[in-house]
Amino acid sequence: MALYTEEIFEKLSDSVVDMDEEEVVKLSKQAVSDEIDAYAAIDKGLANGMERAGKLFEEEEYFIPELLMCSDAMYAGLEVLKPHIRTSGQDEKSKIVIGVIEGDTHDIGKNLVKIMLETSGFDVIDMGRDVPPQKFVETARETGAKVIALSTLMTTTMDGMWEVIKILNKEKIREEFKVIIGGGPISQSFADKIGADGYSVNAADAVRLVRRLVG
Amino acid sequence: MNNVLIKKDQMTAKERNAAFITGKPYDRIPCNLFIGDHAARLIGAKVSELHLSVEKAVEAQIAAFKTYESEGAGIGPGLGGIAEAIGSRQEYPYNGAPFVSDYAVKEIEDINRLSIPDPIKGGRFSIILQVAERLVEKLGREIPISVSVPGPFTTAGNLRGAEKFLKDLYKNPEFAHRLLRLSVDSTIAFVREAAKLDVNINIAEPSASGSLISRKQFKEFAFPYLKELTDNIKELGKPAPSLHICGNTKKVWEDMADTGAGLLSLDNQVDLGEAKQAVGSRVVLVGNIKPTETMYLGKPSDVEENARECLRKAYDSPKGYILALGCGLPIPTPPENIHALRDSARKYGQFPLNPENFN
Repeated sequence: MALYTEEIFEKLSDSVVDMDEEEVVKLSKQAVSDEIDAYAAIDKGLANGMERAGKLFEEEEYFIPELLMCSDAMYAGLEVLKPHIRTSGQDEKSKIVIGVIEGDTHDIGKNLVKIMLETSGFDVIDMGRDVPPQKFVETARETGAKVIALSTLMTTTMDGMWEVIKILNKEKIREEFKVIIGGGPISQSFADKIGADGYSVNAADAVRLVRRLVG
Repeated sequence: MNNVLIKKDQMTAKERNAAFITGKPYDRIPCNLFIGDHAARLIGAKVSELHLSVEKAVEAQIAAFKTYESEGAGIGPGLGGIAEAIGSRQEYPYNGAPFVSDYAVKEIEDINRLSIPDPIKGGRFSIILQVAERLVEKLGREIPISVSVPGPFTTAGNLRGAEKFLKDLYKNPEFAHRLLRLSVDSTIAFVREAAKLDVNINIAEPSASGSLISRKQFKEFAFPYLKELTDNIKELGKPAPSLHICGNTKKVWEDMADTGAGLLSLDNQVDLGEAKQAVGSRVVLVGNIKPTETMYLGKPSDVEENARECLRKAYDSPKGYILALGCGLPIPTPPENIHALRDSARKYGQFPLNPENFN
């Protein structure tokens, strides 16, 4: 049985990497009917596959279209497995508020970071795109998030990230949150300039960054 | 390095450009500032007004010429402008670049209702054509005027939403090609109108970036349409266009040159020295000062150092080299950095180019 279970996990992972949504759904249903632990199937199967896809992306084997297809396959499996997770015994997940800053609607990068964070076990609150700085602060406060993750692709909107930090300072709650930033025009020196807690160059790196900051 | 003198220009930008294109000697390395929406600051206008008002757009370019001695004036529908004319909706923030807020092709069937827009009355085309005409009139004797159009891959993404479009490449490639066909036909129709004026036509295709898609996808979905657009521009009697693609383009440099583009405008994520080795004998290289690190966050001395670095790498590129930014200029860039870039071209880029000046 253990061997069989491992095989299902591996197949789930492979099917995510192969962008095979149908196969992922089929295997997920099989896992449910065979009473395989749903949480393990997500963690060792789906999330593992997404992590491998992220690695292929870093190695320039995969590009954004492939990552999007992999994540569609993963989410299709997630939908099948999620209702079967036994909730007890799991750690409280750290909450992360994420969004694209006001004036910008480029959200592919943000979505990929969200996917990678979710598959790594974080609870991600997606604010979407074109989000006013004040709204980030309000939502982080209301939800008790530990991390505010800001994204933009445009040089014209990057100052909105600074605005978020200024608001946090003004309201004297800067220490309550880790602010991380990313996107095309963003760099470590911009992060330093505006006093962000971290910058990451891609989605896989963002996971490492968040783990470093909030563990 | 401080004993290098800033010499006065011997040629107008127009004369320099003409010499550059025809392979004749010129006074110093050309320098393109990519002023863009920063120009709004020069005339106290909102960024949105630069895109919606003929008067403000013209006034801003004239101000950029007077303040920074810009070596070219450009106008265009912007990255979302062709998609807007076809049916997507754009928003115009007061202080930021326009962006597409609603996509014309939400469902696959939506494409059936769409057609090539009127090349004069569609979207903001009439504003752009009027601005271009006025710029030719007001500045055309001294500096070249250009109309920049988005590439078909970028327009298709703005019709469909980038994420959906990138998935279409897998899920429904025929449909992706239909979107691209509509995009390229609409762009060519507009270019035919713009080409009636004394302007160059350039192409910006940021979404076909190597940071987003693979070379295989570039060859299937971006290349054929870029080539068709470029062929059309040349058939209209215009010089081979400049092609800008954002991000890491290293693996498609050959393909970019194969489109027939005359100039490749390269992002600061790539190395100009490598680009010179790969395609310098086929195309002019344009780039790649860092917009954020150097122009926005740096000091004039950083701009000089970055300019020297670019010159070291590309000054001897066989088809020629133009000092320019790797991507758009951040709107709040300190003016002294823009002056510093212009002066760097004068200081270190005097002909004949002497590597001792920038080594």
